[in-house]
Amino acid sequence: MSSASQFGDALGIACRNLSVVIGSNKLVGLAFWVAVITALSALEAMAHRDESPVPSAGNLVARYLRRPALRAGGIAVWLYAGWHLFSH
Amino acid sequence: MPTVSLTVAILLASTWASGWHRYTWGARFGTFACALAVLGVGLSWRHSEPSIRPSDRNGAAPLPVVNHTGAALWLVVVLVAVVWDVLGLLTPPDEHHLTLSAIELAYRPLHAVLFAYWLAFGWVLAHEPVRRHAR
Repeated sequence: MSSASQFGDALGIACRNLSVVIGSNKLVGLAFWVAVITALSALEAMAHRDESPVPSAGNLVARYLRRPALRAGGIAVWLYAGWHLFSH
Repeated sequence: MPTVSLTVAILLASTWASGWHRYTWGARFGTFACALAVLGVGLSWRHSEPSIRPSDRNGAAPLPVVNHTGAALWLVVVLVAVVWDVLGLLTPPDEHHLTLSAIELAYRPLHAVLFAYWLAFGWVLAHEPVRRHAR
């Protein structure tokens, strides 16, 4: 067995063990996702303060998804996320 | 005032959406009706409102200046969320999954909040200007 394969197996086992530990409590998952949403909201709020170094989500989209093809790809991913989260 | 109207519409739609159940035609039609509405409003606002940014000699609005450290903060939060979601897929079948999809299914208020954020991001995607010739 190659070392890359052994590393992959070890990583898989480590991830599985970690998921067992944190998966034992559903509230841990809720707390994590609330923290993520809060962090994203805080970044957006910081972006709207004067002379903030943090860009807003709109600035990031305008900067990094400026080409029509990239924007169309972003909208496709956004639609897939909506389908997966809210209707699938 | 239009921004206030849009915010109220998104909040009302999200409250309405919190009553949907997955795998139903109501959820499918409702989700994509809201998606089409938000994309349509974003695109129409982009073309109707006068640009507040000065244009370059080609008539295109200049790209916003993005601080890389600030952008990295967004990237870190998104990456942590993605890693957690992938990790959640490894949760054994007899345990509750920790993915965003499973958690929002279990907590309806979170479903409404996520739907509101999803609609708001869709509006950003539709509303921000595109450039045919990037620098």
